[in-house]
Amino acid sequence: MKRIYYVLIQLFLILSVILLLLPVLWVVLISFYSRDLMRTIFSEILHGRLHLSSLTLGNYLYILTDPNFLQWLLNSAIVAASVAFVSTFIGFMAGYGISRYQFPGRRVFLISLLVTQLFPIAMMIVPFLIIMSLLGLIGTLQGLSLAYLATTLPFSIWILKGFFDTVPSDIEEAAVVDGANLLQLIGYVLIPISRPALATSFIFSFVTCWNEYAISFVFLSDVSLYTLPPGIKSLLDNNDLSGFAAAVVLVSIPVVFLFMYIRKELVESVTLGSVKE
Amino acid sequence: MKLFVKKYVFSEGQRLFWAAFLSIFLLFFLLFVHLWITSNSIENFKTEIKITALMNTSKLIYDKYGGATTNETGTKSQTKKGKSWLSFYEEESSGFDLLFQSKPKGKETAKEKEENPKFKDFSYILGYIVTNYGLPADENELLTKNLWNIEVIKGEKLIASSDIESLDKGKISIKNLFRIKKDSTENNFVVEERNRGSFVGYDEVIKGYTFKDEDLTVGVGYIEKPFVFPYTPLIFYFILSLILALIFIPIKFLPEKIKLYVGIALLIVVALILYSSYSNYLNYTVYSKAEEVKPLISDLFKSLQEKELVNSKEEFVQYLSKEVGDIKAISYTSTDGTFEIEPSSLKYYQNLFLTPFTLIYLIAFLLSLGVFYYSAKGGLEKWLNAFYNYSVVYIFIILALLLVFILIGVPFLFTIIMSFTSLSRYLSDLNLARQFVGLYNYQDILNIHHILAMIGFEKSKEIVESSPFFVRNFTNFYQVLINTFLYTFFSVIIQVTLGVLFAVILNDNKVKLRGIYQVLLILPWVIPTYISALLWREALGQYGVFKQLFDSIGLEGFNIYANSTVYFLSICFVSAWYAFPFIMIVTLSGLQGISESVKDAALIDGAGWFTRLFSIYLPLIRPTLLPSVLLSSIWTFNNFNIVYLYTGGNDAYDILITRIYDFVSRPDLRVFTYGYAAAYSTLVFIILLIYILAFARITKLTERTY
Repeated sequence: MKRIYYVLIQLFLILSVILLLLPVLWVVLISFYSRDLMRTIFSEILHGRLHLSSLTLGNYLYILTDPNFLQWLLNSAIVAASVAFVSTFIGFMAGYGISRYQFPGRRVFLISLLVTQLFPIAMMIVPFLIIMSLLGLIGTLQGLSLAYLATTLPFSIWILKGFFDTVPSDIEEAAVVDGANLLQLIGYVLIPISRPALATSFIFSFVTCWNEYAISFVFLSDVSLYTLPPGIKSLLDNNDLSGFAAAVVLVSIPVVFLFMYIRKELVESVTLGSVKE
Repeated sequence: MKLFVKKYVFSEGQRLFWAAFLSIFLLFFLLFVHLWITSNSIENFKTEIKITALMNTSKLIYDKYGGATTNETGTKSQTKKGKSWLSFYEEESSGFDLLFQSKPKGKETAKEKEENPKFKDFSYILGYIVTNYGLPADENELLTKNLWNIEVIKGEKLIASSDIESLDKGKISIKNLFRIKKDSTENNFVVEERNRGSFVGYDEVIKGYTFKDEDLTVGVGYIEKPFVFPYTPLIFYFILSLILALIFIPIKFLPEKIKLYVGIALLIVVALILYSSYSNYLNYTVYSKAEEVKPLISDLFKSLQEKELVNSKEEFVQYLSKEVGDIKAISYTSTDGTFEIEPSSLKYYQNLFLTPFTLIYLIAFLLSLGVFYYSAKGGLEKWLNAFYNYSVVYIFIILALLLVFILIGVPFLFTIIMSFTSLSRYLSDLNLARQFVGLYNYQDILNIHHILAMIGFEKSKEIVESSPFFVRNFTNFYQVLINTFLYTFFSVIIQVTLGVLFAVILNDNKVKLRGIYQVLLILPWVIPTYISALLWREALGQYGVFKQLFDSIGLEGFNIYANSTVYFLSICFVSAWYAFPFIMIVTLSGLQGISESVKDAALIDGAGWFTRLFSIYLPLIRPTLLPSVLLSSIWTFNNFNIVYLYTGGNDAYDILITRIYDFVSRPDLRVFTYGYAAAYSTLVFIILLIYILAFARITKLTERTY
């Protein structure tokens, strides 16, 4: 009885995982098969025709030599890395300050940070468009980065504030007693102990920017300035399913690994950050 | 904890001086900002008047030449050509175009001209573009704009055509203007393109077009919107007042009172001089307006009269006083042979200049008075002391504070303020006070008058009947709202079911390969959402993997688009597919927190699988699960990427967030102002807030967390 139950459970798990991940499986398959098979490859395989001779890395070569795609990749990397860096740095400073001191205005600041978490990105587009076009930053990567900073900064502050809440202040006090100044305190004490939280914040900000579609599509009209999301969408709009598949696999792999790496911290900080206080 | 040190203690005189300094500073700062905004608007206003005048001329020409009869030649040419108007130009660019017919040089009489049904001046089209779509900010915007199809007749042949009556159907872009320019030189009309560097009057144009044939010359120009503010005096004022403040405080030998009076007097004098210099600028622009427009109008009349396009001044006035699009027209009255210009919009402008701006003056005055009072009571010292005591903290958080304020606070407040205005999407006029419309946008979105009319309010009925907006159907807010809630509800149900189910299964130690399943099942959450959405759209589409799967197991004719309910549920499913791993992880960690003794006790008591799940596990993990469900539902509510990219922006399945996005990104929805979109955003925010509060209240979430 017990054994049948577990066999059934295994069957159920295998089936549901396959069904749920079928699109992912499919896109990986397409990316390795030649172009003429892209529409039918799955049913071919279901009928037992594996078409091993059509296996190819051509799609990857094609997409990696596409100057547009490389440009998007570069744009995305620049925007995401700079935003993640700035956001983590500022979040680190603010998170530490908020966590350690009871200063006037602390509560208001924290609550306003929480409220911003509810504010969907699409709602920020209207004011951002106006402000950026007044500043002449529309259609530039700098303007886009500023807009992204607005979405990642609150979360970075939350993650790092939450982290410093869990660390006792003994080490810092010891450092100060030993005569460390502010810069030394930051450089020798704070940054080393908060490395995991910094990594979480950096990765999260990076991935958020890497994945953002709505703002970048409205902000950037020039194809050479596209970041990856509108770029990849445009591949699909041009009916280039193989290129799309290869691009998707290439773009997703780093994100998946980075997210897997921080998922525990992420879930914790998401739930704590939003529910506490 | 450190003690609160009172570092700054002012004497009465110092306190008064700083109070006066701060309040005057604030007052003049606000006035400068106001001047900046108004001076900017005036420039734009100037542009609007010129363009309106030119546009009305174009309309005049069109009415004269084009007018009533269009059918005959149109159908004939189309049969002759047998090709769609698009085919000719589509190799070059997608868009399309303008229509003219050339006349053989010097042969055509006035009568023939009148019979000629196909003369449609392109400047009319350009005028139409400007009226209906507003002033383009630059050439790029002009080029990317989707407009109508019109026709081009080259020689005898119709090379491109469309129906002028249905201007909103097709698409044209100005790109093809260059082609037409080329064509036009083969015929006897000329389209001249003017680029940056050439002038219309005193204004440098960004892009201008002049149409010439032997009869008439009409120009349309896009004049640069100057966004110039004379900063130098302002900076000068800042520096000077700071120097004054620094000089006057440390001087010991003068009595406090004299220092105070002299200091304040100097500040006021400097500020007044600077302010008056700005005011001169302002006055000059305002009162020279009518004078500037006058010769323009007279010239137009003269040239048109020479070409026998208008017979009398009355006729001319009639044409010009017509309202075109949403730009306020100027009305002219003629008396005794000379044009008396009575620019209605100028009057409108000047009136408004007095009313809401006096309010701004009043607000600025009251604010600075408040600051004075607060500082005189010692408020400044309080702040300075706080900064002194917590200087380290403020060093730490100052950057974050500033950035959060600038990047989130300002846009947020801006959205709310903007929602009370009818701010145009071309930002031709940034003076929000001039465009204040009160609660009009909200009333419009919520269809208040439609509802009132249904209940039976006579006045509302009149308003509804007289309102010309055919587009209102698009914005049926309530339908989108219900759609959004249904979508969120189903999606959350699916994700919680899946998440809890997998968590409970994977929590069982005896299930093999738990780690691998867990990692695989987290994948949907970590794959970028835009990719998930596109992936599912393709996978469920015509050539997708599911179609292939169902075909090969004998279920032919799988089509997700066939049934709208099924399609709607598929949206919910894709959204849930993305979110369920989060619920799964949270539930799993909650389940692992349940002690073994509880599980054993339940087993010994002989509780079944379902009993254990619903009576023991779920109640125990409720405190971790509920906040996550709330969070997840907010994310689902806000899940722009999945819904927008999966449905491809289909209106029928819009949720609130994607609808807001449509207002910004879609050219055919440009009738809606930014003010409207902002009001929509604010409403969504309010709805979210209500939802969260209600959820927290119903589930008693707050008791645990606060």
